[in-house]
Amino acid sequence: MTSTAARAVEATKIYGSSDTAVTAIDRVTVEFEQGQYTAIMGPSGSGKSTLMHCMAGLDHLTSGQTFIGDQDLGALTDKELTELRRDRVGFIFQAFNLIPTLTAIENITLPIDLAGRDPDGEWLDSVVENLSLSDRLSHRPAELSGGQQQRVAAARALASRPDMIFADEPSGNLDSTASSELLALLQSAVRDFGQTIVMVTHDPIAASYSDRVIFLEDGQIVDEMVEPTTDRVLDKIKSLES
Amino acid sequence: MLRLTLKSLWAHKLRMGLTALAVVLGVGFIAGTFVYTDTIGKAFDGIFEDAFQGVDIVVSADSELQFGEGIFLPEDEILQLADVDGVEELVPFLQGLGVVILDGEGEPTGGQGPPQFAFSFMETDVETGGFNLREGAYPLGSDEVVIDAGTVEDNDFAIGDLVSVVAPNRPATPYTLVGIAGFGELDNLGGATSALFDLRTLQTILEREGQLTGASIQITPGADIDAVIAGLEPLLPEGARAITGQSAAEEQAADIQEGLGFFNTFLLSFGFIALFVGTFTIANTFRIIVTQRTRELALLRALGASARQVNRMVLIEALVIGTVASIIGIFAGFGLALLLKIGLEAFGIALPTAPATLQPRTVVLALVVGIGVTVISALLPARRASRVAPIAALREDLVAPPRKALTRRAIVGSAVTAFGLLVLFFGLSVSLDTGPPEIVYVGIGAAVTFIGVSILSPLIARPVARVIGWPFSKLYRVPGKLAQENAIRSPRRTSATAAALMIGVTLVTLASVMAASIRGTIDEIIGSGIEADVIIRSTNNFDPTASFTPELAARAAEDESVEEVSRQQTGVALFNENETFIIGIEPNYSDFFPVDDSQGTLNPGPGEIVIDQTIADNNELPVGSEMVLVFESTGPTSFTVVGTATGDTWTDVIALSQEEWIVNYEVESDSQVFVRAASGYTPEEVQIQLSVLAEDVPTAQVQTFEELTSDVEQSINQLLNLITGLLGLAVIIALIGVTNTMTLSVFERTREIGLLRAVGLSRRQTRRMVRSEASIIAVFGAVLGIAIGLFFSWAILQALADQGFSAFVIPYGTLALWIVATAILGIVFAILPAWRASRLDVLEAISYE
Repeated sequence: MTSTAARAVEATKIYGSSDTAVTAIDRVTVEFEQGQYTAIMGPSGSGKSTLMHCMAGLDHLTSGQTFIGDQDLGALTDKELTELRRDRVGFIFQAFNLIPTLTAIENITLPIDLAGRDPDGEWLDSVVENLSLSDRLSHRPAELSGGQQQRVAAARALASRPDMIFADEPSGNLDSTASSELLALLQSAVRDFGQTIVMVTHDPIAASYSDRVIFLEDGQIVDEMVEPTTDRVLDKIKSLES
Repeated sequence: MLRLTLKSLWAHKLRMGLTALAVVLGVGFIAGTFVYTDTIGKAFDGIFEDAFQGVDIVVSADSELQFGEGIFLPEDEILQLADVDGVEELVPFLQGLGVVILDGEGEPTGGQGPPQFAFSFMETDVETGGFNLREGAYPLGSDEVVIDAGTVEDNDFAIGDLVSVVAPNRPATPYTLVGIAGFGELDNLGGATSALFDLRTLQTILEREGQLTGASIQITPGADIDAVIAGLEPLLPEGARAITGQSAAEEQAADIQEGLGFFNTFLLSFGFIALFVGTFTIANTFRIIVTQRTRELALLRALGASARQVNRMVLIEALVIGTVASIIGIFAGFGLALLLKIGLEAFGIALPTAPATLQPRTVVLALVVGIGVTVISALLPARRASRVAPIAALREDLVAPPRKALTRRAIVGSAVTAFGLLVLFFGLSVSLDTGPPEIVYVGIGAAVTFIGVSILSPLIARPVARVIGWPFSKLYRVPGKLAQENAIRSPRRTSATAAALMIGVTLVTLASVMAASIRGTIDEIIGSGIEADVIIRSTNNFDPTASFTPELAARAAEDESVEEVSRQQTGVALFNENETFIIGIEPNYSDFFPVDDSQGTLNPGPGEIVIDQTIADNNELPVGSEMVLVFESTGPTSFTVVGTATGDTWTDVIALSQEEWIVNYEVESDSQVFVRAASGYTPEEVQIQLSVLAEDVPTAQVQTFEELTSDVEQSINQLLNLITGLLGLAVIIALIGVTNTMTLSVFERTREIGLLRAVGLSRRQTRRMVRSEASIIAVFGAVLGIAIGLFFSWAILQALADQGFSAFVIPYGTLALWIVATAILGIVFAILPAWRASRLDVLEAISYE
């Protein structure tokens, strides 16, 4: 039983105006199912980050619509968008994910604290345990390794059990061991807890952890692949480049 | 390199503008003070030139005292001078003080500050005192008066009106107003009231029959002025001198300039305090800018710029800012001079004005101080900039230059603080004995102490800021907690910003504690020390020698509500070259002013004197020794010390018997009458009874001691408010520093704020976070300032203990108010950076590289 966690309808984003206008995404229509792990791939400038930012309520569309659940993001004020990001969306960025003055656990519970809610203790414990962060909770980001920092970011994204997690090259700055560890953790969050994740990446290995890959080029969806493997993704990229 | 410097200045125009604002305000205040006092000085020069226009020679007494009646010369001897060769015409003149004009309601005109003059005034070809008749006629006979145009206008008098005038020894008497006079182009003398009578009438009013203040002389055309003076000199009465009208004008102008000089110094000291605070603000801004530009500077170094070039680049930036800001400051000074005038007028101080005067000295000083302060503030940051390693351009982790060891900071800071305190206390102990010049050590010592404490303060910034931030983290939860953490994360920046505010708050605390302690001392002395219930005293709060007719004491003594009265006269004399108050007392004085301890008798007879034990100790004047006082009228006179007294109410007392006092001052009028109520009467009842008796003497007032205390406290509070207001400038400059720091912090934390916004920090929460941090920094400054201010005032009061300052009162309410006020001001001055932070484009912030 699946339903739509987020979708875009005819989403178009144009930067600049008239002469210098650049169309970042061009009438993109796409759906992300609940409990699905989707990777968005494409060369630099293909619009994959823009699509993610617009889906996550970080950027506004020029035309078209994006939805989280049934909520049309275009209809929301900045305050409502902020609350939506806080309560219903999780983020994992490539770098600089954590507030340096806060400890790991404070970073993890930051969105929940901002909302003034009490964290779900049991869930929080299991997330922290799954991400092997139990003995790192009182450390500040500067005292954590790169892999640990990204796992704290992942824990923050998972802690509030959002409708949707957006990950922007989450493993981009990590070595291969830390990278595969993190990607496996994200994969198991989808498998074991039914979390929905959309991940932007240009790494075919990272994409291979997902359930479905969407290929973007020049702001348009050019192809998609279900049950990807590294080799198939590589082949597809090669074929798209030729 | 220069082009690069200018470009970088332009690129950072906002923070440069804020830096410049600190200089503009400080320089503007200094320039404004000079413009204002120069303008007044010029106006007075003009007045005195007018006053002695046409007067060739002035004969007058040579007086050195500020208070007091002045010296009077025998009329017959002066009038003889008319026969000297070369004297064409001689016009005698008389002037006096404390002659009060009453308004229609029978209340004294002219307020409390400026003096109340009386002059003789007659029609002559020679000018005698600067007054010229504008309307009506000259006063003639014992029932006519002419009044200055200012007083006439303020009280809606008209020619023909009956106006009452009170002299020190006479009750109110009505005179017909026959004319209106002006002083040159002015309506009055700096707010003073002037009553003009014919000579005989004024002699009667002042009880100076056969006496004059002096004479104006016009010489025969062609006569040599110096020869005439030489001819006059052998005939002059004792204590008189003859000088040219021009020298008299210059002398009087110089007196005014000296008075203005004090006023100038008073205001300037606040300007320099503001600029000193400015150096902290400027240095801090440059330091942050240099830190932020580390990579840019490193790139320059990597591309071949020498350390010296980088250093010079930062200094040239400072030079440009300092120059531009100083020039703007000079213009701002004109505006401030205008504000000063309006402000002082609101305080009731009206001074003559001329077109605004900008002397070259003002421009040079403003430029030197403004540029100097800016460049000196940039010296350390520039040195830091030149030490940036080229490799920092390539490696992110090297961006932060290594911190100096904390122990070194502690040692240097402690040493500087200790040195500052040493100079401060040296200055304090020396200046208490010798007066003003050494007071400069106090200022230098305090400044060095401030620098020392600001070096030390980062050491305590973490724990203190954590405590101050605690309420914010409780109130605003996450944004408050983030603000608390942000204030702690760079203790040096927090401290440097807070240090600027610390200075202003220290001085405000000092002023408040001193005021509270003086109030406390007064409460102790007046409230409980003096065994009297009611006091009769002059309505003039500013001149301690102001007096009223002894008739009042006689009436009071007769009243059924009164048990006993004690009269006191107050005058001035020179003691050890210093102007000192001398009082005349009755035998029962010591019943009203109980002593803790005494030697000899407290009831002096003829040729005898009683003094405060401290004066006796300091001047080696034990009982039995001789003490010499110089009076205006009777000259040097020797007295035998017959008694010394110890006790708060006897502080600084030098007392003669009433009879002896009257001999030396040639008048009999009381400055104070102390009254004890008869049994069955409350002080309030006595006050009501005596007020009725004193109705025809409007220059005297009857007060209970409660009212007296609150009157004195009110004038202390007024002074405190004035000082606090002037220190406001330093506080504002420090708060601009808070704005600067927060602007730069927001800029530096763009990514962090973007991330917070992405994961759900609302705009409002963002603003709260920035404002709370500013508030924490401001309160940190206030807490440091209050701590140092308390210490300073405690030390000063210890040093003053033997001068009668017995109380050390901490005005907890005022200080708590300052903490709350700085907390709010910190928030207000962070509104702009907070708004900018909340408007950051989230996407741009998180993709910012």
